Amino acid sequence: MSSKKQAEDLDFDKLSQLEDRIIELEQKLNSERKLNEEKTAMMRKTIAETEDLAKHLQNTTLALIQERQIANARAEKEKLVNKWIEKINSSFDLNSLLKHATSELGRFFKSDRCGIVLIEGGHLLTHYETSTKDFNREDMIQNLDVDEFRSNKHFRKIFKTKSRIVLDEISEEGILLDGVKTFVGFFISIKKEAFDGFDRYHDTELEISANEIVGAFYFQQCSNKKSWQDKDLDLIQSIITPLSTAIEKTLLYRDARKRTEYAELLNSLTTQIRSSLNLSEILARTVNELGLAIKASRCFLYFDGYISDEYCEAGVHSIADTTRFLILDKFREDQSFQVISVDNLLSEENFSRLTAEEQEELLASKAVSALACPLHFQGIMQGWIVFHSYRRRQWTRDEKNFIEAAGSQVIVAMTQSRMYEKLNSYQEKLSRELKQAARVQTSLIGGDVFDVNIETSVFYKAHSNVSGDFYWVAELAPDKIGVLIGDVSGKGPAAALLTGYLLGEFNSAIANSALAWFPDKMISFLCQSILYQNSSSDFYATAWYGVMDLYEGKLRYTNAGHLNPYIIQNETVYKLDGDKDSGVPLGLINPKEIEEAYEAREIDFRRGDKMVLFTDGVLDQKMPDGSFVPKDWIYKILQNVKDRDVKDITYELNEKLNALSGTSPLTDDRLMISLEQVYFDIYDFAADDPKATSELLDKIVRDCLEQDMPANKQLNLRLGITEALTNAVRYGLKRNPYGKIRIGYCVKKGAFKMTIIDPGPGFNWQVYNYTFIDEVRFDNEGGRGIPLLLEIFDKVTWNFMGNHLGLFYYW
Amino acid sequence: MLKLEIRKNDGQILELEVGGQLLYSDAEHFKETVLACLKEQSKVKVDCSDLSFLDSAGMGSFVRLWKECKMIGAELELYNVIDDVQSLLRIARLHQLTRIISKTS
Repeated sequence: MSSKKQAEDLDFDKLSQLEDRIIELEQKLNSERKLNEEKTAMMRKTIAETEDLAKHLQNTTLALIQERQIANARAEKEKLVNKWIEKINSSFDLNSLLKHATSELGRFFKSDRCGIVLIEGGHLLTHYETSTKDFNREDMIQNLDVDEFRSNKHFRKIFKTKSRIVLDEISEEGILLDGVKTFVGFFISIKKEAFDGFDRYHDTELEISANEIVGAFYFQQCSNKKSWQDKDLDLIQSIITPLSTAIEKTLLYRDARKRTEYAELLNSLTTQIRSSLNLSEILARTVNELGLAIKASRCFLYFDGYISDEYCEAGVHSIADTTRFLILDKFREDQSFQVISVDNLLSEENFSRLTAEEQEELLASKAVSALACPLHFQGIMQGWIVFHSYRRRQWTRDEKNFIEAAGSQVIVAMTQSRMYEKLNSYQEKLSRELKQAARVQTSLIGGDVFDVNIETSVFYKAHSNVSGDFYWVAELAPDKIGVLIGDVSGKGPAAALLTGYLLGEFNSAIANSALAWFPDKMISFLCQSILYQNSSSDFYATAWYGVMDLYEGKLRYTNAGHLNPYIIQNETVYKLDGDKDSGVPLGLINPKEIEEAYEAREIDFRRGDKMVLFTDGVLDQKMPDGSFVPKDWIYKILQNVKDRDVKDITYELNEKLNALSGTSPLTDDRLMISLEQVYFDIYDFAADDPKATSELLDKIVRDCLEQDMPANKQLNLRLGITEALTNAVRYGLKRNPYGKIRIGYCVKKGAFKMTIIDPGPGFNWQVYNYTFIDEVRFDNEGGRGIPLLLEIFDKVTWNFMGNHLGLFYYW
Repeated sequence: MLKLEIRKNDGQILELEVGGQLLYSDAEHFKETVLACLKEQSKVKVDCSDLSFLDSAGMGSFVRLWKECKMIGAELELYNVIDDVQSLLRIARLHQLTRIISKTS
């Protein structure tokens, strides 16, 4: 508007100027317009660019949002997986681990079935599968064999390629993949030296090393096809390693626990079977304990064609009475003492190894798998422990090791038991023989003095069954009592044999000579005998031998190293010879080479006098504090009991000794003898007076009957005494018609003793050829007197002169 | 004390009765008396019903009688012998010496 106002006011030039100006302005305007257009275009371009940028930003944001969402989802899965890995890591039980793994992952990835199979050394270690309810096939797969997996091409591929396979669409037959539409399998490998469950081998076909457990972790979709996302597969793949580690851990734990269990079982079994030495108990325990430990259907001990002991699980029948064969022997590779195991006895290959009879027996036993462990000792086969299983079973190395260890314990226990039984039987036999020997010895020692002339009381207790102590109290002649006591060095059978030898020698001397009447001669004789015996042994013996002359009231004695006896005389107790040298024990010197090697001494020993003899077992008895009986102990005891009868004296000595020694065991053989002279009256008797004789006989018979002599014995007694008195009259008064016959008799329960002394020259009994009544010719008018005495009386003795007769009659 | 009686002696049979006790002190008397009666009898019978006891000398007397009888061809018979006497003869193994008839039979 302002430009038009300027043109009206101005001329042409001015117009021209104006025009020029207008042109200039137009040009300027155009230029400005152009510039504006350019600016507009630029603006438009900028706006477009901004719009593009905004769009790009929007897209980027969206992408970021999406990525973030994906990342979040992945993190959530990883979080879940990590949580799950933590969970499986806390499990120590393979089955619960597998159950957990398959059920959790199966549910997480919405799989119809999720399972895991593990193969160890060609054996199926385990197979576990979880599934949705609709696709459960537990019954079908519970007894699957390893070969099912090995022969399935998909599993085989997993094992061979050692990688995962993903089959989105399959249609397979066969138990493993029947009805499966989608299958995903991951390879599992666990390499570990420590696994020792089964006998392992290198699987060349599948290229599985001997120290490797391989397996597959699989998902099966049966309801519909499933398209697996790589990220899911990767996620699962990332789980396989921790899963393998967890499985390895549970297997290690399982093996360790199993070994611990077996070790405990072995300890328990060892303790149980070793706690008994009874063979049948050991065998019964063995089959029961091992049968239970191995969870066998049947466990038995097989010895040379028969079953000694058998354990049968509930519902399993016994084959003890029908078994003849050790079927597993057919599967023995050599004669070594190796455990034999057969997983499937009924397989064609195994079954065909058996004879028809063996096959029949196997089928009857219903055993499918079996394990046998040899029982051998010192290279000698003793028998077998056999296990049967009614179902197919793979025997693990641990089981075999356990059985082998148990078997060695069993055979040791069996051997011990057998040795014990043998020893026991030997000991029983020995003990029986020793007891018999003890009885024989008891009957051998003692003597034949019936308590008539003297009262005797003996306490005798052998340290072992048989003893080295000995004694003998014998009527050497009427009213002459020989008392021998002694102790052979050592104890037991050898010492007992020597006592037998000594007593044999002593008795032969009594029977055949008057040697026994002279103590020093008798001791020398015994010393000589034992010295001869000592050429083959080193035994010796102490002995004290005394001869009591009851008629004269004397005691003559000789000591050969024995403890001096005590004498109780006139209310006084004293040790005979005090502490004088007691002489040299028998067997240590040759008495023929030493002048007066043994000395005879004599003391008065009259009616009422007592003597106490003993062996060193009395003084050597240990007290509870380990000391011995005090030296003057016997003296003190005897002081207190000197007035008592001999039975009381012996009893008191023993009782007091027991009280003194308390709980201390018997240290040595213990022998104590108490003697008292109770000689009866001897008086003059008119034996030639038939009336007096008849009255005497009546009285004697009456006295004997009062002492329970059987009535049918009186006739013999009458005849015997009549004969003895007749002899005294016939031979004693023959040259001395005014001489006196003296008699004495004593009757006790069970015994009668009579002494008849005549004034004659005596019967020369030393040269009398002992004739028994059977040997007298029936047509002989005479010669029956002595034979009748020997026939009727239990013992007939004479004094040295032969005019002093002793008769013993027992009932 | 011995009781000895000759009951019959008709040349064919000599019959004696022995009682009491036949002991060493009477044995000689028994033998002297009885043997003096022996001639050519065919039988000698000894009634022992009252004989209660005999010793070895008494037994010897019977042996002597048996031997004498044997010499003359006479048969010796001891009869009415009580059990005790039979037992005494048995102790001396003389129960089979001759015919012995017990008192009870």
